[in-house]
Amino acid sequence: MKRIRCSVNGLNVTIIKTDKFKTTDFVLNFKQYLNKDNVTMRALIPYVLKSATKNYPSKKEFNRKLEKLYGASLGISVNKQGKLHILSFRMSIVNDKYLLKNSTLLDDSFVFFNEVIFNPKIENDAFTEKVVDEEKRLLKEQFASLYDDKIRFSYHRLIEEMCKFENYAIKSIGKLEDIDKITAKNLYSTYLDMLDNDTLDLLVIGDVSEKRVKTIIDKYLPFKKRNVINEVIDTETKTIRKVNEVVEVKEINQAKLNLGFRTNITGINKEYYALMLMNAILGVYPNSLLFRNVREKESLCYYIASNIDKGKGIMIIYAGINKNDYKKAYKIIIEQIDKLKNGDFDDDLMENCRKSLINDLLQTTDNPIAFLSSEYSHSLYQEIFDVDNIQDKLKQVTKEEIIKVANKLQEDTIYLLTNEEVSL
Amino acid sequence: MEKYVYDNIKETLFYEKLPNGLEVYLLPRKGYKKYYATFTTKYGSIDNTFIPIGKTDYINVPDGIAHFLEHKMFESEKGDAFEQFTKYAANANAFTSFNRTAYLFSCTSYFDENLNWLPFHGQYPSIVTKISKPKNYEIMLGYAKVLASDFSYVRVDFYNIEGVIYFGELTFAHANGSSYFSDKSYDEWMGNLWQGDPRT
Repeated sequence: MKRIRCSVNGLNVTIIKTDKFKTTDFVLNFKQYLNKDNVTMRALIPYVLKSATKNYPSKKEFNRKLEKLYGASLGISVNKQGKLHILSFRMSIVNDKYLLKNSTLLDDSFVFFNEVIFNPKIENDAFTEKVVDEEKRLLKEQFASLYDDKIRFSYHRLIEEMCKFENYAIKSIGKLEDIDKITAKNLYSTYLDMLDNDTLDLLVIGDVSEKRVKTIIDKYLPFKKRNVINEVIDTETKTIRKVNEVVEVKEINQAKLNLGFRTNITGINKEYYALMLMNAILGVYPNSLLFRNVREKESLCYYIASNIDKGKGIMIIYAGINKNDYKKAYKIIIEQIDKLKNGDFDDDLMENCRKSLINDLLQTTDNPIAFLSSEYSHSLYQEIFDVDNIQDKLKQVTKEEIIKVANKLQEDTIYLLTNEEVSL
Repeated sequence: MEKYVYDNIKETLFYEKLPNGLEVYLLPRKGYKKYYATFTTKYGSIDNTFIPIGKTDYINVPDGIAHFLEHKMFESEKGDAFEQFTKYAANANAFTSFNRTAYLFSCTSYFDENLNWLPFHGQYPSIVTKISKPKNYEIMLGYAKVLASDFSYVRVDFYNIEGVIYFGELTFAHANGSSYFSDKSYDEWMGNLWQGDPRT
């Protein structure tokens, strides 16, 4: 495997040259600061671009073209990381060296990719009304399904309460109430702004020649030079004087108890790997403390897990519980955190979690898209996705370091979603 | 095993039909961290009639029996097979189609005489292991087999120092026969290798 980094036009390019895969995969990421004024429009743009281009003006023709490219796939996603809003367009195609006839599939795919990014179907300096209306309707449905999924809903509600006065409270898909303000015209001008001003990263993985890829990018991704964003860490925070307690009442059967903590550690701190392992011991695997004690031993919840955010420096514990058990569940969750703070966990658990993290890490390298997304998220922190190096860092984490990072945790917000007014 | 080379896609497939009729295909993939295995039988949802072993006549069985059997196969005297797979960080699943029933699992760790995986552990569960065979491994394995050939169970120890093999010891009752294995069924399996009390 060889990693080549260069800059072509206004793009930062990373080529991972490997003969492991039979496909060539590439991802183009647009990154911009998360901003409440344009986030909803930005979230809609990839869907509009994927609906209709000038030469493939409907989803039917669009998909037929993908079939002609030997069943290529084109995916989009909208994410946030730290203070950034990231829109991704990715394609996966068969490596054309395995085709009997068409040895220009990579070129052909980039021609199509160019069409998707630069040549949407437009009328009178705007996207077409019909396409925008349809995608607005579908985005509203995304909000409706988020509301129906109470695990995700309560997770977002905790973040909204915890980061009430911070930019981070904004969802990657924006705000429901902003959708109706979007027009084919203002969406189109946001799109043009994105083309000109977003920081762009293109990542390619496969058995391809560096020269060929560079020539293709130069030809089919003619972006202008631009100022580049290098920050990712969202440093907005607050002083916690008292733990914020929020109870929300909805008609539900299973209550949700979510806890938010400030970790005071982000991806640029060297303690980050200790935090990763601490989080694994707490709530990632079936043998982690939360699952074993809150769920299995005390039968207090239906699911329970914990998550850390690398760019924001927060940790979230989320559990589905019986509504009468919230006090007991809370108490036992806090006991597990105290175990971490006091070093009251055994070496076997620590070693198993360390191995599981490494196992997950290694598996990432078997999938080209997963590899590119890890490569990209590491690049946000000016790192490369070097599996051996990450493994070494995880192996070096000591119990003392875990205790130390656990003692940096600050409880910020308790959020309970239940079906009657109660006090915590 | 028979070897099939597919130059156009740069893959080599190995094949062998075992005496019991089971067809085995092996596809090594360079650079991959994960192992993936499937076991497939040509029996699916359209098959509701067959000739039982040793009989001559077809019998009829109810619709849905293939899928039902697929689920029953995960139950065994040792308990739920899924739990066993989970314990060793393997993902297991199965599916039934019109004319096939398939079982599959994937994992990243293996342990046995080829440094592959055996489904038990003494102290530490094997979740991730990537060990290359030490130098002289095959030679030591050969010596151990010769030395062990007269006994129902023996542990053979060697020292392998700078390319020179030294004989260590023969142990007939490893840890006095009282060492712990993660699953009782493997304790029994090890114990059954001893024909008679090894301490006498």
